[in-house]
Amino acid sequence: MKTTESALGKSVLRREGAAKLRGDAQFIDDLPRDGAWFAGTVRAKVPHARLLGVRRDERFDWDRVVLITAADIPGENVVPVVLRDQPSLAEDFIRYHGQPVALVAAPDQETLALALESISVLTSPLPPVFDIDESLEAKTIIFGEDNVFRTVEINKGDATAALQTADVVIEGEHHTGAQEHAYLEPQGMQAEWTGDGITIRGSMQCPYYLVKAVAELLDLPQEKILVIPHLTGGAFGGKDDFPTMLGGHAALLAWKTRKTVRLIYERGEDMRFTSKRHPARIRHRTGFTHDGQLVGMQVEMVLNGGAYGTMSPLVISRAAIHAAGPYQCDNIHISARVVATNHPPSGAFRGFGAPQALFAVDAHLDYCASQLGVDPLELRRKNLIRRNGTQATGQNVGDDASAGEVLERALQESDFVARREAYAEFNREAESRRGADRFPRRGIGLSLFMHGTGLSGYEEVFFHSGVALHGNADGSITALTSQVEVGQGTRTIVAQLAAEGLGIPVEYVLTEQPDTNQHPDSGPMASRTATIIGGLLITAGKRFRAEVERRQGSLLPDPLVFRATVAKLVAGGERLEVREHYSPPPEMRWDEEKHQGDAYPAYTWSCCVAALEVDTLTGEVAVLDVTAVQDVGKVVNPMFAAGQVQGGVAQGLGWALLENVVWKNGVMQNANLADYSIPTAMDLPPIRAVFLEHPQHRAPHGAKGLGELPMEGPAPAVVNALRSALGIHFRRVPVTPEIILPAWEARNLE
Amino acid sequence: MTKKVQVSATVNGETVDFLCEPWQSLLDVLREELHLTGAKEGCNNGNCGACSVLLDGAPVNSCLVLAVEAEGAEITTVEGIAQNGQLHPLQQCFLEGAALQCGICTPGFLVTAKALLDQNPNPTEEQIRFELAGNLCRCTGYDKIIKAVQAAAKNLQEAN
Repeated sequence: MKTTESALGKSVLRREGAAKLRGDAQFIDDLPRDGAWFAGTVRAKVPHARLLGVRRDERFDWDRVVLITAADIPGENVVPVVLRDQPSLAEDFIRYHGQPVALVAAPDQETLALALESISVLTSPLPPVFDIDESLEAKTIIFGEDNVFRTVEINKGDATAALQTADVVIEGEHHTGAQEHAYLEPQGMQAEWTGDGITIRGSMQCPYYLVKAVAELLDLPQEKILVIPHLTGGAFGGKDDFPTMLGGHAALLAWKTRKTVRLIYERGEDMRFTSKRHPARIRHRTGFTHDGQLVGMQVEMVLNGGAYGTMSPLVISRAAIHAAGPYQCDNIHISARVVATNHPPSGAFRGFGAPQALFAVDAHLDYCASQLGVDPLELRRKNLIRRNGTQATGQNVGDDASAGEVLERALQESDFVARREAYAEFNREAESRRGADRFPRRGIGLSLFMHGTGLSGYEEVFFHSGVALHGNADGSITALTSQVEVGQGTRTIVAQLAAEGLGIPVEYVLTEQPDTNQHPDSGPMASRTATIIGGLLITAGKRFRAEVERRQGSLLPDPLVFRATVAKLVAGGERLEVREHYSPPPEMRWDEEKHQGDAYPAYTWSCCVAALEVDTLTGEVAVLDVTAVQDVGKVVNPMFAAGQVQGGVAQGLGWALLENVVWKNGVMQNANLADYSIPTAMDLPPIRAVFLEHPQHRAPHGAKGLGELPMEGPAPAVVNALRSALGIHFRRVPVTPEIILPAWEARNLE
Repeated sequence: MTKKVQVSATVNGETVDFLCEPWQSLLDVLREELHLTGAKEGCNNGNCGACSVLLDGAPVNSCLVLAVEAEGAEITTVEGIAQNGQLHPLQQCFLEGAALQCGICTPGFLVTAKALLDQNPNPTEEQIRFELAGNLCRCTGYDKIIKAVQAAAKNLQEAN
């Protein structure tokens, strides 16, 4: 008799891989266009103004198109994310350049273009607010009473007292820039009026957000809204909250025209007017004893949230919780605010506030080591969180905490110490030559960091994720989740995880394109597929097997017999379905008001090492190689996991070195993929991913979540490597040649 | 009003006649007239490479080529790479090496890599990175793509 080998830890091939490779896979822009109308957006061309109305050029025949403004919205004019402050179409005020004011649908693209040219937005300008300090001054108010979307304070011990008595206090201010998601597939939706409701297909992460949003917008019951997320061409958080607005727009036009309407952004529109990573300013005051023991940390962080709240109140929570990094300190004060400006709204982006916080703390810590005259490795070894240590919110990080292990493993895998010495020698050699400042320098640096698994605090409870397993007539079992395939491999790993619970081969589990009629709400966002949803699938699988065995009256270890039994029961008219919903582990405690307690069920731990060479004539940086070591609890699919790490590192290197959003009057000036460059194959080095697997106890299979973590390491590692190469501490990412070269030239003048 | 132009070309080995506007891009015609939606529109200005196809064996951004320029030319899109229902060694190595994630850039990488291997059956890693630098990928960090091209080169050489 055969039993089933575990499907976890195997590099099962991508289920939709062949279709994508043949060019057959259907993305939203690939749907047949038969009869569909084309849609466009009329946008404000000022960053801050009172909206007076729209003017239609009467030379255009408006009967040829359908036009919608805020006044036509049958339900509530809102994009419901967290704060409900953002209208679907502007009504009284313009808060950013590009804000949607009206929508147009036309039978063909030429007519649409003519209509869009024949309409203008009438405004009366107000003074705009673009940067964090202007917003905090609150001379011009664009949100609430003080422009602050949310403040999060975290207190542990007494940081003020600790800094007063510390031997050494070191200050540092760091800045991070906006980052464009640059998913290769621009945002797009197609909505269809079905007679008494709407079906929306599109590129998105979270189909259920859209169900709720469209029901409110159209004043229809949620049952009348069907959302079908297509294969999605990259997301990275950019298709988390933003599609709630876009899908609402497509739905409004479908409702008004009674037709199928396509609303697909072109690249420039997508880059200018969709969300970005929050720019941030982070100040540290850090107290040490003479020998480098961390005694107190004060962190003051402000994120630029742009014009509307979107995900900002949640982003700032994660940013605050991660602000002290993977370090043990008894006295911490963290103050984190996210403020409104007249930029397009910032939104979810891989890491969700944590990358900004972790960049600052780890770049600062390396700088502190240089000021204390301590080896940065020793400073980390002395202060990193150990097993069962407590992080900033007072949470015990558990006996799977592995900050020390990932550090030591990364040092070993990258041959860090020997290479650091070799590069120092290389640089001394350069220093000794005539015209020393014209020779390249090399450096190696690392970052140590962690990422909380799943949603922060109580969000996971509110979210109440669900999965279902359904027995089919051929004995196969369909796993139903709303985990959208955005490239991460979710169709494949959902099958692996369900198969693990069911104890059957992965081929017996079917996964399909979700829709909101059939598939329970589950995400995906926040690195939750492998861990939270995976846990639910495994539990559901075990229950499903137990149910089949109960009805059969015997154990069914042989997978072929199990399959035959499922087929027989279903053929006999029995319904075999098991649903499982998330409930938090009962021992977890969280105080949202004080941000105290168990912020996440588990943490992943990582160390990222970057080696680089700086061309001191141009300021250009060539990254030589990157080694990323991470403890993710349990690897579900090793090749996919490595792919997540390599892709995340690439995105992190882009954020660190290349990706510079240039703003002018609240408009992105370089909104194309040539002037805003993301890394190419020539820009990137080999990226090694090494996994440790210390299982967490709060998921049946021990997995801790992976998607966001790897993008958090490169920026601090690069800045630390640059100090090792040039002896200069850069306090800002992206650190472009335009920043590096003047700093190097200034250093040589000293 | 412009007058539509008749164009005759070979697309994936078959002779195809189509009518197009003189300003229409090859990408437009492939996707909308010929229903070959494998080539993707990632930026429509030649920066991302998602629309790459082979024009007489050389990779081009089909969003920057006028459809009328295809007159008499031989065009290969991603749909023409698999033969007789069998994945091409490049496609097989991409699948086995997890060299694709979201899949939007994948068709462009495949045709560009095919052109490279047709010219140079045994490229170095640096040559592969150079030749593929016009194709952007946001998911993979390129590592697995480079390795898949290397593996396909090896398989193709062994098969010959």
